[in-house]
Amino acid sequence: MKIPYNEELRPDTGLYNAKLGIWLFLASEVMLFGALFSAYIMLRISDPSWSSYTVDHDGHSILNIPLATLNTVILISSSVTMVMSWVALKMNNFYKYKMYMGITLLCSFAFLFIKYIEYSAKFAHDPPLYPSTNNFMAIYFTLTGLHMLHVIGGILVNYYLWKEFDDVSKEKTSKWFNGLSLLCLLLPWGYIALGDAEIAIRGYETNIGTLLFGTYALSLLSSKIDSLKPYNYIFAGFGFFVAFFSMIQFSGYGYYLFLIISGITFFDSMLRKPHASFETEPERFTNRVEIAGLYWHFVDLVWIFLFPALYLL
Amino acid sequence: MSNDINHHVVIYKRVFYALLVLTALTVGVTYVHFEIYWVGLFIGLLIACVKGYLVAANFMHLNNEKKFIYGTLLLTVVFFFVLLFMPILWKANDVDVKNNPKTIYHQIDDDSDHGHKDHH
Repeated sequence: MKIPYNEELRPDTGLYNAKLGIWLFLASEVMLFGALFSAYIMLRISDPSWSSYTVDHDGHSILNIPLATLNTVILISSSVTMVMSWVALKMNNFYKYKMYMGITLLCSFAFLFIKYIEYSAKFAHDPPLYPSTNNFMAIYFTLTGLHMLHVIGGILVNYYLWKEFDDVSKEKTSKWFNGLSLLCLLLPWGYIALGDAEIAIRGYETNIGTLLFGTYALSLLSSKIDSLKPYNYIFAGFGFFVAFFSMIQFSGYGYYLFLIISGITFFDSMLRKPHASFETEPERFTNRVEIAGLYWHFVDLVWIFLFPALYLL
Repeated sequence: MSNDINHHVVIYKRVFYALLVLTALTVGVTYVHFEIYWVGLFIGLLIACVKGYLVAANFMHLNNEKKFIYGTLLLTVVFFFVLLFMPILWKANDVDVKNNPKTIYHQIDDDSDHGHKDHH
């Protein structure tokens, strides 16, 4: 049975289902960010010593304005390429769609990377700047952190729409994951390097490296044994959670990398081919991309207001 | 139909350039020193609103959207302004009780007759 009004427009509202749904969701998100902006206004106008929070002891702003301007340009560009990817689908050009959506994803990752640079600069500052340092830091980390979570959500959705799935719908292996496991197993110093990295960072070796290595090795094994293939995602997920919890204890870049790689591969191993793809239902798929685009434009809109509010004013 | 799409693509490109220019302007305005402080604030927010309008109207296709969406957004905007200004107006309505002796709180707290007449 076909769900009505997924592609054709409803006669009373003139919209298809998902469009109304996403606009209602965006309305709720406006309230979410609006509450935080209101909190920012309140905090700022009631504190006469606000300027002391935003300025360093040598008079410069503690926020990096050129970097944030670059971030703004990157996000605006990703918004443009997002709408161009929808236009490409409307013109039945799947190759161009993949290209534009890929650029959108790259821009999003660049945005996240610059955010990472900004945040680590705050923590490495002398004295370190945490959300608990003062009111400005609190609202800054809250607003930009929540926005960053929205960016990550958008990346997940856009990646799902961009990825081309294998025909075998029951396939539960992830190429990335197997590649990394293969690397760990084949290179004899892969296992030793993990331990060495731990010694270099912490000064001693713990069991986390062994756990991570063991998880990846198990995942590789399970991807080769046919009866264990459907459960590959369990090992992928286990590796992700080990990396995630070990991140809290360690601050070395190796663990961040493990977290990112294991997170991506875990997410990737969970994906299944959608019912509506461009080959089977092109109009419905185009609508899905439009909806993802509306969400992404909203994320861009929030940043357009966040950037002057926090960095410039 | 293809002309229609091409026309839209031209608009998207123009909006992109406009957004880049406005971003540069937003940063540039911060280096101008205004005599009244809040004028700079106001101009910065105004430019942000223009950018927001360009994104919403063109990229989110709000220019040719249906009435239902306009109505939803109008409701949202109304409640958003309530949300934004309610704390400020609430705080502004607060009276400084300690230093303003003519408030009703002081009349009630007056120890002489507690607001009642003496009963004998």
